[in-house]
Amino acid sequence: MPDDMASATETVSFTLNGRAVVAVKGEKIIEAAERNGVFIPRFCYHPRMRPVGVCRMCLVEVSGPRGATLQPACYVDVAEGMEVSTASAKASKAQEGILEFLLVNHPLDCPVCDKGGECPLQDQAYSYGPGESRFVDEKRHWAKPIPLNEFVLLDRERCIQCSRCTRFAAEVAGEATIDFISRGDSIEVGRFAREMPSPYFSGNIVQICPVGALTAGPFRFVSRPWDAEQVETTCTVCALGCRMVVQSQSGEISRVLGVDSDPVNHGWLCDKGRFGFDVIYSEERIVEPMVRKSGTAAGGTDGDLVASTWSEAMSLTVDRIAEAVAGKGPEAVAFIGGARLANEDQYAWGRLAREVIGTTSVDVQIGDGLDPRLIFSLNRATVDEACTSKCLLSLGGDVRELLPVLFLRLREAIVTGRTKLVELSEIPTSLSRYAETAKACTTEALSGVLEEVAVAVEAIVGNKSGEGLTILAGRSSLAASPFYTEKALAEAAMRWPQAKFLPLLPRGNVMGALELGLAPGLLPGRRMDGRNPGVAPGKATGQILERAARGEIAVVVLLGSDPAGDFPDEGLAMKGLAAAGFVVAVDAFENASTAFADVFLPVALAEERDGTVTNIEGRVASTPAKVVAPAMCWPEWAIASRLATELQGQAWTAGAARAAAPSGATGAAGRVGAPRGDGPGSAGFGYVSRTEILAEIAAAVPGWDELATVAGRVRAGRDGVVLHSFGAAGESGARPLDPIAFPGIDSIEKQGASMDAGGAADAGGAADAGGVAGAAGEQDTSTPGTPSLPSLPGEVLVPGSPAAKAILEAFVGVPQPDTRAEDRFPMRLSSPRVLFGAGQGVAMSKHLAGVGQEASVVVNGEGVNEAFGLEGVEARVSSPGGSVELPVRIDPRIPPGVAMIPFNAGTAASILIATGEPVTYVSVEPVSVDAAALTDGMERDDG
Amino acid sequence: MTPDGGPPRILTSRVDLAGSYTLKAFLETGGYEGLRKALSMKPDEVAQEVDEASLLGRGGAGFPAGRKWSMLRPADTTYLVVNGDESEPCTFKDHLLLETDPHQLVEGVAIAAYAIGVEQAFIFIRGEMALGLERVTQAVNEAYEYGALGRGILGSGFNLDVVVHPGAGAYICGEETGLLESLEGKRGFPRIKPPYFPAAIGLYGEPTVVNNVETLSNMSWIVRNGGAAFAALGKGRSTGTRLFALSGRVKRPGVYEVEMAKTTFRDLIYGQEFGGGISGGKELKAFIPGGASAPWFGADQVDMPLDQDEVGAAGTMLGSGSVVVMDETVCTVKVAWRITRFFWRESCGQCTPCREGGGWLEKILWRIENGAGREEDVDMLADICDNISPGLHWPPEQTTICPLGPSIPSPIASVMRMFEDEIRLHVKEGACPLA
Repeated sequence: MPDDMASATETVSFTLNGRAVVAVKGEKIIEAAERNGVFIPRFCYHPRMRPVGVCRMCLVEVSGPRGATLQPACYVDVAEGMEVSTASAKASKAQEGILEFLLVNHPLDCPVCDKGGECPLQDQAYSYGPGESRFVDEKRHWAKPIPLNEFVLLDRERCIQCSRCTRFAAEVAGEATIDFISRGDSIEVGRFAREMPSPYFSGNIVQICPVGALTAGPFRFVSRPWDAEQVETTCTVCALGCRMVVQSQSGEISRVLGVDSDPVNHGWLCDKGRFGFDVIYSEERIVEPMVRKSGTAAGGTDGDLVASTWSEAMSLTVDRIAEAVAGKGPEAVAFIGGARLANEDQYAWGRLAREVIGTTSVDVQIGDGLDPRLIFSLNRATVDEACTSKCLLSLGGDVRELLPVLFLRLREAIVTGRTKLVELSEIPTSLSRYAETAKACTTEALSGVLEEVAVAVEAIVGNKSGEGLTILAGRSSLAASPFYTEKALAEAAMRWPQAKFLPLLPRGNVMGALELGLAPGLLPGRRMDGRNPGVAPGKATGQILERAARGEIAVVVLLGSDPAGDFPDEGLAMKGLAAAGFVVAVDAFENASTAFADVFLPVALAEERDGTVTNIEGRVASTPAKVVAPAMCWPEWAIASRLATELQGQAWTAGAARAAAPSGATGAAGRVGAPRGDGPGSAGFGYVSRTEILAEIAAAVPGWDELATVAGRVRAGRDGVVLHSFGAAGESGARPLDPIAFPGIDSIEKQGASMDAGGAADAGGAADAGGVAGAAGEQDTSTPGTPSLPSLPGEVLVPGSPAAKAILEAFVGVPQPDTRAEDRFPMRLSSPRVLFGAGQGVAMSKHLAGVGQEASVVVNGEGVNEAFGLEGVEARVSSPGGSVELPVRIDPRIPPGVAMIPFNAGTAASILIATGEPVTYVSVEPVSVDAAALTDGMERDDG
Repeated sequence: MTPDGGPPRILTSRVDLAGSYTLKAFLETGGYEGLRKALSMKPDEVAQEVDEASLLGRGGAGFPAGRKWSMLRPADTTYLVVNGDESEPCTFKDHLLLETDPHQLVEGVAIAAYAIGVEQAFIFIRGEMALGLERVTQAVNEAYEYGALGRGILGSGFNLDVVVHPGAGAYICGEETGLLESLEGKRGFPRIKPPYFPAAIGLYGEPTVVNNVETLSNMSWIVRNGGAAFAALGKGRSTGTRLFALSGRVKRPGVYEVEMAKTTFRDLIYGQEFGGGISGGKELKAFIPGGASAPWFGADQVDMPLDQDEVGAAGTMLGSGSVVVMDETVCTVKVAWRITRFFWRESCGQCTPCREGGGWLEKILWRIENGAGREEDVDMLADICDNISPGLHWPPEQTTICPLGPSIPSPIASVMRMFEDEIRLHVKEGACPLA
């Protein structure tokens, strides 16, 4: 369904309401008419699903060889010479008749229906229906509403049987958990007794329901559509960056809806992104600065966090940082996290760390990612490119758990035959059943197995250069060190120079952070830092924690991160945080790590602050604020700016040194903002607005330079721009706006906030820290798998460049340590990330209550059943690093010899994993003597 | 010709035999001779005979069987599907064939499969026909044992497997694409067109011929006697004999095999060897010539021959071979209500006009019949019918995917056309005048 006529190869001419128009060959009448400005009413038609022609609302009069007949416009292709009349007497009568039929059994409860005001049935009844009903008999009655799952409720009386929901389930989500039952006007949508729509994509059926039959629990009776204000923004739950609108009423977010972004999400959202917005209203949220005051001892620290002021919290933080730098040097200050931050925030924090403080101990990835230098040396694919490549080679785990809507895009591409999947994964994933080849493969064996499947991959793409190949690059288990995956990826890139890569790094804006300086060894714009980093990229968090445990880190700043709950090695995280002299939490909620915090700085969350984010493709899109943050919650950039300003007063800081330099190249000098009480705004660092930072990024960061001129294209209502590829796959065309498919979303351009980068074009370059004399420590190569990388000062990592090639070669050369199971720990631990874990995004959301996964250990039934007798029994899982008790689940799809524990369903996995070990081996044994005795007893009884 | 000079009994020659459904009785009466002969011919020659016979499909649409076969798209896998889902009220001719002469059908299936080069056939039988299902299943098993099905049929190199599949109680599965969906294990939702013919894209997406039970039951006779002999019976395109299920107010309701075109409705209703006249000696008021969805004929058209094209030209159809007779005491509103009620309950629920329109019309007709009709209901009935089948002409135009849609207004339109006064009298008197 190309929108762009110029790109269409074949066209057909036809007559539309007496007007000669042109359509693309193969286009449906409804689409061709819409492109030519004629709207044909519809219910079952949805541009992202195959037409079925069942509601008959789109009947139009078509004159062809067999005379004028009524044809469903959603189903019939435009043919040469066809005469289409959408509003003839015959067509109009048919449309009016259909609407009257639809209303026969439809309850006229619009005044109490959530859909009222944005209801396609209501709207089209007004536009195309009869003025009043002739139906005087009794309507159909049914008990209602019926819950379909945790989120969705079904009102069968309102259903018009358009089959959008059942088709979405079967065709888009790939799980036919709802379907029609019964027949005639007793037909109803039903679900299976024990199998309900999974809470991954079920919200979409509510959004595409053209009546009020499917409603979402979180939105029922909350708001009227006409009372809603909305803004188009970008979802930050994962790093795909789905486009969506956030609606609010009376200043409170009421609902989130998907927007059909052609290059990204096709209108779909996952349930976490759609329903999890209520975390910002959690009662647990920290909405004022807190400082630990001595008193009662708690949590290994010397007091409780008590409410404070920004002045106190700031000056305490500044003092501690200053002391740390003065006493132990800048590397004694470390920053962990930052994926939740917007691009502008990340840039500001990066400058603070690198320029003002002068530390290289910065890492957005919490031991769950990949080396950014490798990522930037790989050809990057867009989602569209991945979906149109001939072959997808997945090394990245379960896309449905990591980047849910990407699963929908890839699944569609595979099942429609556009691409074929070759999957190498520790345990089967949601895509395995669609794969051409799916191999169970431990992470440490990736390199070798890649060798084995290379022939098959090359046969699919039909060449040896990797043209038409997209490799999904991620980690299928966090219980194996990343260097195995990194080596395999580098080898793949060397083997197939034309292959493209799509990184499956799930954390919200992790890509923005890597691009803009929250990655060790990299300056903003993928530039290699000339200084020898004190830490290794991709593993820096682990090294920071180790150094902290040794007492070498004086201040740890947690940028919305929770190493104690989220780092693969829980023991190390606890030790490190406990030993750190001073911990600053920049966050919205308390968590396992904030128990160690000495200062808590509360922040504005995504819906409360303007910004831009960068997705896995490198697509920069806006996230305008919709609601106002609690008064004391600051946007992160403002906190960084304030800290910088106060720190720059100190003589030792790098920023102060540069500010004094005559060149003034930092852009920081001379821009003086008057401090305003407790609020942000500062001298020195000088940021007084978010747009100012964006302008600086556009002006100063390589690859982002065109952002200034294309800023308009990034504004809300568009799909964003892809970095480093402006002019190529950068901008996409206008999206088809189907008010039926996307009810209520019809004024995005008007309401969207703009991303005005042009206004601050005078901002000078500020990111040039390459020449700063930093710590000249030896590169840490003690961690196994850390490649000895060329330092390449100032080089920009562009795929294909000599610098990038040098990086790839370095990764290929990484020695692979031997791993072998010991007798004591015979099973290999596999620990993939799941969508609904125990993190704050789920735990703090009332809407998502009940969908979070319980921790369990999942094993193949073979052999294990004997030991346990029954599924569900408690097991003790032990590794050299620790021991946990978990219920056992049996799943025959798990390869024998593997014990799977979801990584983020509690800390069970991270207690077992020791990041110093390349692979974690475990033993799984009955938890108590009782269980063993029970088994023995049974045997005795039998005997 | 039969000894008495009448037309031959092509389809019902065995129905009166004791144990007619057994292989033994079948073999004793020339069973599988047609198949033997067919296997000695080239497949094309068999198809040629059927084409020459001008055998019109007996399922309802009356599409020439030979032409249907010739449309089968060549492919590695093709299927033959037998439509035995006869479910319409007052239609029970296939019922008779399935119960009394299942081997004749199996033989026909084998001949047809051979002619079109199909090695897998399915016989889809209405689930409620328990006895028919049992006997056809038995016949298929016997045919396998006898060698008339399976590998190397009757010593030839031709293979054919047949699966008997019971329906699950839905009339809509008689619609051939609904039947195919059901066979595939899905809901019996008729498929949207295009593709127009299963011969191009049918069962499991493969080219498929769907033939009616009666159609295939003719095969043995045609092969044994030649297409020309079949075509010599009847007139024009309406050749051979055909089964008619006669019911309603006649003295001898039942299934009758008559020569097409040479027999009239009068013969069928009044002939002593057939219906034997109106029961109770009453007057003929109207009759349905071809099943519940066919527009009705009045008493003035009783001399119309049973000729597909002539009946078609008169604005209705021979359809499923069901003739329903109404006498002067029959309330036509009640008849229309009863048929509408059937269609309403059997709508698959896919298309709006059929799903919602059927129930609405049923409610209105019930009200009128039971004395709660309103003046405006009469025109409204007509308009609702028009919204399901615009223009209410013949052949009908439809706003739905399959022909069940326009079937709903069909009887109502007949009553409006022929007995509008009777409807208005119901409304005026506030009761059924014929009750």
